[in-house]
Amino acid sequence: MEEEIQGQKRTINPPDRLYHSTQPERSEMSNNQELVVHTPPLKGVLKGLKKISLILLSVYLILYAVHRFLPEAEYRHLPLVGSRIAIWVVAQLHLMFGAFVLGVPIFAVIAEIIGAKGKNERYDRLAKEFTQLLFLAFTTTAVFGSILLVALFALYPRFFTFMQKIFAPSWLVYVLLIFGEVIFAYLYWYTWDLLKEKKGLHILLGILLNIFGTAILCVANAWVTFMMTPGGVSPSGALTDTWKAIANFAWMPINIHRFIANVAFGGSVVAAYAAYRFLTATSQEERAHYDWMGYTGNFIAVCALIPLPFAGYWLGTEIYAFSEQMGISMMGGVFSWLWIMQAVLIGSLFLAANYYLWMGMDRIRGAERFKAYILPLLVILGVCFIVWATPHSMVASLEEARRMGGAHHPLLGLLGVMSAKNTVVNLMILATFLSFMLYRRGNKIETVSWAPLGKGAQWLFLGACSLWVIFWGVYGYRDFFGWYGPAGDVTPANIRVGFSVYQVLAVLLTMAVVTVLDLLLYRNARLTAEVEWGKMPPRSQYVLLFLAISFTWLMGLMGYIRSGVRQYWHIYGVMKDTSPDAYIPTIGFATTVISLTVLAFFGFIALVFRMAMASKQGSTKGGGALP
Amino acid sequence: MKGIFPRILLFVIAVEALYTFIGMTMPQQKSLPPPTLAFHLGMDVDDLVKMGREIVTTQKGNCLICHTIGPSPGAKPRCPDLAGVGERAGKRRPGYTGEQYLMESLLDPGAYVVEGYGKIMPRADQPPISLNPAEIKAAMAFLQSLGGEVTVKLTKEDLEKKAAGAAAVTPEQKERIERGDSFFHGVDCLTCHSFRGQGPGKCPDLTRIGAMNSPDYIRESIVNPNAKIVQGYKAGVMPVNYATRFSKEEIEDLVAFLSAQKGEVEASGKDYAFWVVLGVGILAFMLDVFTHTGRGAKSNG
Repeated sequence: MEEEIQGQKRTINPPDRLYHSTQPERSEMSNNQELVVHTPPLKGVLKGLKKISLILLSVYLILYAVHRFLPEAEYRHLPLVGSRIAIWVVAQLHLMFGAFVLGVPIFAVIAEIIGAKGKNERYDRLAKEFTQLLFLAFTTTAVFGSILLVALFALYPRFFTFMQKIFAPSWLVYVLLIFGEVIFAYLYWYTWDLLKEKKGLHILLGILLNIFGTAILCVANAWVTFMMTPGGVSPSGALTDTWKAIANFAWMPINIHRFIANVAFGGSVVAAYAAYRFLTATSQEERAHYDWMGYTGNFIAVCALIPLPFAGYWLGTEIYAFSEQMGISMMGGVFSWLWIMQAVLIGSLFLAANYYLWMGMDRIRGAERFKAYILPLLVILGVCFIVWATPHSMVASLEEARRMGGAHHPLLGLLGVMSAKNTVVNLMILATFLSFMLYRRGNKIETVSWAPLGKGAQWLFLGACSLWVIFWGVYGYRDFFGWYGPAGDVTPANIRVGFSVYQVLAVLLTMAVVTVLDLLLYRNARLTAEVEWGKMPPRSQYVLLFLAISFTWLMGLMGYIRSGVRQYWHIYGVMKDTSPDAYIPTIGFATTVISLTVLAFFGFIALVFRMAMASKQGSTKGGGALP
Repeated sequence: MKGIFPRILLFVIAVEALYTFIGMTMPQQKSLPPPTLAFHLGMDVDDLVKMGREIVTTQKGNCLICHTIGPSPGAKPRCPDLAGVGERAGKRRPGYTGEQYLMESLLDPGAYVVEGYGKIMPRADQPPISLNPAEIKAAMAFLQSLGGEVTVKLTKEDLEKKAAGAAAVTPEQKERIERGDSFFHGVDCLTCHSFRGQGPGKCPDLTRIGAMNSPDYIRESIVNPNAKIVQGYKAGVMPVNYATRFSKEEIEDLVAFLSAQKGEVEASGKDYAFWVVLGVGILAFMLDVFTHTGRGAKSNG
């Protein structure tokens, strides 16, 4: 391989390029704002390994010091904040950063594949830009993870020691996976330009990075889910089967749920970053790029959001299978109002995502013809949102309750049960899907001869699916035809739970069929105009920010419910929480902690982005391409 | 563009404040752990019923998560209505007194399930409910009071025993376990079985047998070894004459010893993890130094 340096040609063997570079060690923006990586890959990997080893060794030393010098205790109290709040906030921050660093590589690789397949440099640039942001986030995740580990050991020694006994072998696996993740993450980044001509190999590195990332998630999930639905231990807490402790009831559903949620979360944070860059852009070219990035990030987030409720149902089913009591406490006990909060959040997410799509129609000439659909869609979404957010029991004064005949309102109380809520969630998903379909058609005119028939079939599917969803929702109240008992009786709870499966399958099937039909309909379609990226009002970018905040808040809320459902147990049914913090706080207190944590997360992520941007502009010294 | 960042910050705070406000408007209830109840011998029936009410209707027993006391309009409860259970209890199962029926319902709820309901109730004496015998008696007294006559009485044994999950070893049991230990190591079990790292492993490992199986299962495995075969092992390997070869007392000692084998294994993966971290750290550092000095200099030259 020959390269010209200062007018002289010299030969560099490919292996040497892995460690040495003819360029200064840094990243820089080329004229067209493209980031160019010059640091040799092995050097980058070694840098990453040193960094993570240093962090992990520091953790070991601190743990040793805590064990050696602090007096033995079951619990230790952290002054001012309290032990539980400290663990809660640090764990949540670790989780949010973890979700970001696991979610972003997934769609970075997807974007790279799309870019390589369609020979579209823009996707490659998007993937690269975000991979660069990962590294500071990696460090932040590791730092919060280390603080969490030390805090757990220092504040909850009895619990920590027990978990150590059960999961010690998985620690080794976890550490090895972390090293694997670091190696592939750094290789993925530092070989971006080196493997420009060998995209397949570079994509393979990205896939390996994601395999390691997902494996890390699965190991950590084993610890968390064991606390909720323990397996492989006797009632007295003796380990009987390590694999059963890992593969407990909630493990696989949480793995799937978190995997999808990480993609949605990563997408929303990417969109928020793009929104910030759009708002601060100084040129039309820059604005166009970040508009497109925001749209893509949001598209990925919403795509991942749609299957999320289904993954949640599976998790709920497993929790009920493990302990009916735990399931009922989660859905109907002290946590029941938090599901209303969840409805408010997801309802807002759907409304905001649709609003963003509708505003996006302004950047597509030809999309005006679909604006007539906006009002009916808004009505459907609004009604569904209201139903979803209706509580089963009302907050009422004694006098009001007497007039209602109890805590349940005679009409509104009916909307507060799962039959109604499952129905409206599915209708909201269908409405959002329709919004996207219309947006996608904005600048296209179908040319196939069977277009009217195809479009008719699509509407038929959507209409039939909506009716099917509503039918099972209504049937959840009364067994009108006597299929499950005497006709007209109340449908038994264990039967009506299963109706959500019929609804979900119908919605998934409809979306699949309508998408396939749409792809066929608009193959070789006539384009009326190009999408005018950058032609979006500033408020659209605040919608993207709103989506990111709501996603993050939702993560905090669901994490609280998942963890809180253990109630007075560190490990449900195995180890009781006998600390002074063994109580469920009020919803107001919990939402305040969640809000402060989310605020802290946005503070830290803004810092990470700022540092990454500073590094990208070549302002950092020291030679590393990454901060 | 300078004003964008404060505007975004304000926006983030506003959205968060909105969500916090929504949370604040919801019912604010702090949920405390169930209280510890104090029982004593010769307790008044009314006091026992009062304690029972505390257990059944609060988070101590969590019964009303699924049961109701009185009709529940508009929805069928997950578990039977408890109103009138004191009167019904004696008529539910032929040959059972009301007290026996209630006791069975709490300690072995799957044994008899009322028609039209599912087998979903957990044992009241085991985690996460973990009622002790005195608390179970109190719950029974309260249930009897719902339409029936309270016949349950607290005994000295009820007050001494703990919940099933936390049963303590008595001196007699300890003695039996020690005899079982000597017997176990004196006979030929380890010819085929493995135990705490010893033995060939031709038959199942007994290190954690007590944590995984009941004494009845262990007893059956000794006297009738082919009745149940652990997955992955063959039938017909273990001698079938132990019931006649050993005395009943010896078998009970062996059962007590094996039942006590809970096998709390402390794996040492964390130590390996430490050495892996240290090793990788040192290796990365050395490689870096090496490439900076040796090969690096050569290549650059």
